[in-house]
Amino acid sequence: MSKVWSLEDWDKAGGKYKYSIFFSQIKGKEVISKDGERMGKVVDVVFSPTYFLGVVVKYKGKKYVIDKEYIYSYGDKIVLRERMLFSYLGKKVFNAEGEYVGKVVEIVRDKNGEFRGIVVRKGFSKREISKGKIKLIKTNIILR
Amino acid sequence: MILLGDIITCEDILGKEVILPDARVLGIATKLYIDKNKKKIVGISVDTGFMRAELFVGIKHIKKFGKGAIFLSTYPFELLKGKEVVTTQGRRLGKVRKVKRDNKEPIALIIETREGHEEIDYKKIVEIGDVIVVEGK
Repeated sequence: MSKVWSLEDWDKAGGKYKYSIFFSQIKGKEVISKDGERMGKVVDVVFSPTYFLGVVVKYKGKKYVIDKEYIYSYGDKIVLRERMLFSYLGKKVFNAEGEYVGKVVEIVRDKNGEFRGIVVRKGFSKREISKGKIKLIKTNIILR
Repeated sequence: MILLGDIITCEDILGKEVILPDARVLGIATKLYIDKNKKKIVGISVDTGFMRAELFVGIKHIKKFGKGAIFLSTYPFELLKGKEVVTTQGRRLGKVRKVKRDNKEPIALIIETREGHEEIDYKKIVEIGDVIVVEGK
């Protein structure tokens, strides 16, 4: 049986094709994290080579790949299970007393690629802050 | 017994940044309101920016007076107006028109949808960020 469908037949098909999504339906869609932060807009998708790997978003002028495992739902917006590390860049960091510590300029990962901490710059100085010292990450970052 | 370290002055409050529960900077504290009869601080005024309204924040919404900033414990309802509302399934419901209150406590969001208006129980809010995420399909 031919696996080449006309669009009209595809629309009528059920089974595994019922919940399929076309690139045209997600291109340009806004991506948000489950905690309500904007994570950019979809500009591309990634396949390898026959199955869907994830989406490419443009966030503050740069492009990032988001693995499909982080995608929680597709609707008018694409909702991610969690905030992406790239969104930490540029965030302001405050300590527990509300004193400004600096801005995030780098994400630090361990040898396994796991998030380990952030590098913060204030003026000409930089310092690394481990993830254990971070209390809250939302629009900005608050330390413990 | 009052410890010296627990005492702060106007200088420690005025001109400081005011930080929302989502770590967003709301603005700068510009005024202190004191009930002259009860001799207690009742709130602060926050300058939220050029050509924007000054917000009054009641003392019960202030979580902490830090050395560098003032932390709020709740999100001012005024700031919810105009925010997009999206379900956890990614469905866009609309924008907040108003926050319905009962005895000053929020009970619902009135959302402007394509069809008109919809009321969402305030307890269904999952998170407030750039957008408001609510439970539901």
